[in-house]
Amino acid sequence: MADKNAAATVAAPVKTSKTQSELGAAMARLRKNKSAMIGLGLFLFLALLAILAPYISPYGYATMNPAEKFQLPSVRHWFGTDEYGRDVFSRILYGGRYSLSVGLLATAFAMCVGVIIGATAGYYGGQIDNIIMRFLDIFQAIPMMLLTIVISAALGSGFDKTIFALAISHVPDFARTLRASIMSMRDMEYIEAAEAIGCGTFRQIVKYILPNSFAPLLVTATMNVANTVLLTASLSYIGLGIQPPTPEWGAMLSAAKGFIRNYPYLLIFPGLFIATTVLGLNMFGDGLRDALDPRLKD
Amino acid sequence: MKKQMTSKVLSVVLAAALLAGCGQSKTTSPTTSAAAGSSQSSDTRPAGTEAKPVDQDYDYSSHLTSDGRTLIRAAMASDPGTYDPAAFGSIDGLNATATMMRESLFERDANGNLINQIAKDYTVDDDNLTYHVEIYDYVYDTAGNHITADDIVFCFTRAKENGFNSTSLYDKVTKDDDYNVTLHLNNTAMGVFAQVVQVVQIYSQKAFVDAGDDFGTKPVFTGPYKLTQWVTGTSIRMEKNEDYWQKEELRNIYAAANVDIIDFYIIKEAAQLAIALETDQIDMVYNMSSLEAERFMEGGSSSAGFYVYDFTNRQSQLMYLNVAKGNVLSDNLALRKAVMHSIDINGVIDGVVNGRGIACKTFGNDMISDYQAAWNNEEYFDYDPELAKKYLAESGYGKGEVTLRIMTTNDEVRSGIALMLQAYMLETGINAEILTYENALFNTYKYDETQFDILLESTSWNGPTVTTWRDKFDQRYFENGKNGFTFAEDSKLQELLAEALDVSTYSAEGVNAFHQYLKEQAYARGIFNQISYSVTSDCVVGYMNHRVGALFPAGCTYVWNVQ
Amino acid sequence: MGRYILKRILWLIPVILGVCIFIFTIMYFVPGDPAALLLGPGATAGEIAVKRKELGLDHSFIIRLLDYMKRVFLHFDFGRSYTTGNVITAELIQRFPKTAVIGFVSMFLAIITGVPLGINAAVKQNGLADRICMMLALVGISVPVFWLAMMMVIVFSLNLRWLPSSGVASWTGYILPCVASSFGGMAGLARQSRSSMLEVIRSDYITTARAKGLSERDVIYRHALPNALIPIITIAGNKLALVFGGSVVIENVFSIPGIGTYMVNAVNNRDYPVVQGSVLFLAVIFAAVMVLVDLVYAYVDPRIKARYIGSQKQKTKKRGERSHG
Repeated sequence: MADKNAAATVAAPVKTSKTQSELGAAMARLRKNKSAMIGLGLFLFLALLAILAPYISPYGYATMNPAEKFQLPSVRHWFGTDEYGRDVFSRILYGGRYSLSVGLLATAFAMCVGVIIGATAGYYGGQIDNIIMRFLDIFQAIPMMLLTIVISAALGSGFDKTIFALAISHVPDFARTLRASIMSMRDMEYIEAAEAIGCGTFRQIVKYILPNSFAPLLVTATMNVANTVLLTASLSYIGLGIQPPTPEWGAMLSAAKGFIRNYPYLLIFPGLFIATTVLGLNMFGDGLRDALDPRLKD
Repeated sequence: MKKQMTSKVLSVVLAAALLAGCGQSKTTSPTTSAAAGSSQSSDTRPAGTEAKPVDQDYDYSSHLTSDGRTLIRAAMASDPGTYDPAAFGSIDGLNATATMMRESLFERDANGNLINQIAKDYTVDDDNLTYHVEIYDYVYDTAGNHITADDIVFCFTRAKENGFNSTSLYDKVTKDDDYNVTLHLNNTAMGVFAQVVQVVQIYSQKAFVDAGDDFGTKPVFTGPYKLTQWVTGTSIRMEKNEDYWQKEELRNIYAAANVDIIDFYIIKEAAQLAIALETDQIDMVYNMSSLEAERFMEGGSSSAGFYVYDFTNRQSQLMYLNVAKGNVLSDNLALRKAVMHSIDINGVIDGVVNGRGIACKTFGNDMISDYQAAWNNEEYFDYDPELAKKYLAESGYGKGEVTLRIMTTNDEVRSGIALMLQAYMLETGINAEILTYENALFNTYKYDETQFDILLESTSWNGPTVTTWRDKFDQRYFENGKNGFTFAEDSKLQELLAEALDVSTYSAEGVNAFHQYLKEQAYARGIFNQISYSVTSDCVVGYMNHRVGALFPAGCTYVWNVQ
Repeated sequence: MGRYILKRILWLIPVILGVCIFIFTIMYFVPGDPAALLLGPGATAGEIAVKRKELGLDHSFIIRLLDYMKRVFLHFDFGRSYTTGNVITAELIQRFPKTAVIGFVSMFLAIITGVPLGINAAVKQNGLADRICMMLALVGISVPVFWLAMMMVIVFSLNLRWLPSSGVASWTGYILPCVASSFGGMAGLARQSRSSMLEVIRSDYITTARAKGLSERDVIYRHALPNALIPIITIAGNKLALVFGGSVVIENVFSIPGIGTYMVNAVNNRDYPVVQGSVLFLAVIFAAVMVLVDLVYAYVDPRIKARYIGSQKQKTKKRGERSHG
């Protein structure tokens, strides 16, 4: 008994420092990965633009000036003006706030819920796991876009409802990631040890399991944000999600549909920004995955 | 600004007549059927329709099929879904195609006058509720079924069962003999009879029963065209009914059949419509956006071989102020006037539709049959920012202290109007919040007085002004017993409306009285009517719209009709 | 082997039932009364009540759910559309080919272009081709599909006039949608193929093969490739979900009368039966395809084959293996 205790107390600190050094090594690898850093830089740059939008946009995003409509990009209007004479550059900046925040919030929300579900399934295993997995199977039997459309229709259009709809359809991803992570660790010695010393389930999960699942979760989260930004744009495009005149990038593309022949520049900028955001996130996500476990290829 | 069309062709839709008196003429004798009714059976194209000069050398062989029949290809925005009159297909597709296939007892021309289709004549009793209609005794549908009074009763009963809103205006239809029926209305408002007889399409009961579940997709009707091919979501072909029942000289304007075959293709986007025209996929487009239409106007990049017709769209954009008890606009005439005078309608027209619109001078437009010319010279919520600010001060609110909610659908034009409204009101000192909903939700919230302060919608007028005023303001028509979307409980408004509405008391003075009162109280206003453009290939020399607001290819005049 | 197949197919049933219940429940909560919408303004409360009764909306949730499930699974009857009254099953069957053609053709395109590109990039790792391909693939999965589609319309339809910009009146109308749809899958598959191939190339038995003196060609094509392809099969199946889901947007851009447009229009019109029917239909098709993919995967992967054909049951934990992706 005493030996076991001793073993437990010895095991725990070793594991922690090992984790720390593992993390440190991973971060070093990440920093050396050029494309990952470029990707992170891109995303942070766009996020910064979005945050500073009220301060740096030359015009308001709703300021109409019908006399100056459909102007091509110029010194006065860097990205030109739209059908109401609104400055496209300002709208892109403000639009970033919507598009990015929907992506981040939806992912955060999905992660919280997914982690709880995945942890429960992974930790308890057996019947509970089975039931939860079957539920997730049902979710994933429906192609994600369709699922999001249906949920979006049920909840309605608008900023907050779109976040919910997107979050709900991404929960299974996180749940599965965490579950896989837990299952691979469940049988490890230090967990047994923790249980042996009387560590409660909840504490075990939070203190030991989560930190070690951090890596795959982060990767999943990054990819999810990218995916959500794309999905938001698609939703707005078909008429659900966020609607004009809110300057969400997808909504801007939808509104520019009618001008595809005469003023294609209206389509280029929002699309470019969506692509850049997602590209940056994907590059960073790739790098993250490579760095956190060089052998962890999907 | 690009030059407008050089020769404006006034289509049937652009009605020039401004009748000062009654919309419908009606004789007093209740029993004689001879002189009753204003039914006309001749072409009622209004004066002033100029056809394009005909090029006698125009080679239209490209519009002929291999067996020498003439073919024209048009576009429509959606698949009709179903042709069953008791179901709800898709309005764009139906308006484009069903008008050539289905017939009702009477139709209406652009001026609101009744024209014969299946029915020959009618009389009305003194109570203004009982109408006796006689139909032609030689009406046959495309399957050879003979249409009799039994069929008429069947159609009206079935329509009522399925609850179209106009069908609540009659109680029942009874058979008098094989070719006579009696229509029992329950409302003596102006234009009700016309509305009812126009909205119910007639078909053979036997055809309906024979078709089983497929009546909507394999339609059998009496009209001058029949449906021969339908590729869901892609195209529809209609061919001339060689055995059309009506005599040549008695054909009404909607029974024209100037082309043998009409193909409709489903194309939604404006850019795609333009391309389809340019790549010779289609020959005519109804209501193309002005941006795309410019390409085809004289001097435009694709103008060779095409002609652009412009007409004023019958749909008026409208605005209502919510004066339900407890609402910020209620009991505050000054605030309402502040809102109304903040708006520069010409600015709105410029911004939203590029200047191609006509401002409204009433809650309606000047194409309505009983529009009064005097209204053109009256002041109608003229744009006056100083006055608006004065009213705002009077209303008891300071600058920026009040916020109004503007509710609209995400239709391009209407959301544009909302945006401009917001900007103008801001200048006066009134804040505005725009609430955009998609159609389904919008149509539910329209009836909820807690959802908005300003409502934007649009509608067309078929018949005299009062028929639509009834739809929008009559307390008896709305569940909540209030004056429509204004949610007013104004007994004077109701009184004036009731008086103007009823067939027995209808008069120009009554109509004017309502208009003036509505204006005084600043409950609602018309905003503008858009000018629409239809682009057709040069083989079309005379253009025609159907009163429902769609292109009517069967009634257009083509090169082969006049060469 | 037969047991595995049976197990997979049987597993389908509760999932599909679950999907049906799930969709029905969600649609139940959609705001907006279809009866009121159908009858339009001016309908009295009485008329609306009658219409609701007619549409069966006045029963309780459970009864409506059971009734629906009975009709769908026993009679394959998805009901009638609220707006047009047309039989939904017939409509779905008529529209499905258009969605299916785009779905399967784009998958096919994605596979035959993406996989070879990825494998090539892996074999010539860190060469110029590798870097360029992977960069392009990265861009390919980052660009919104409908934006790409619109750009293609601008170039190929509006400017060059080679292809129609909308509709499927002729077979040329399918070209742009299929190509646009395939990009995402192509890029994703290229990336996955590359990483899968790299993982295989680094493994011990490849080193052994090289040590044995086999030609590089043999090593790559006879030993590495077949093993690398196994996980790619599952990934390809997953991409199908992307394509089916994306069909909604593609059909919107090109005005294709497939199931996607049918569904989106129905959502806007609160036409519940159509939405339920479309989603259920597509989910069943998708699930069936996934089962097929799993079966192919099981057949091809010797490890699984061994597990079921062999008499011993080994509890192996394979590195990186995931069930159902």
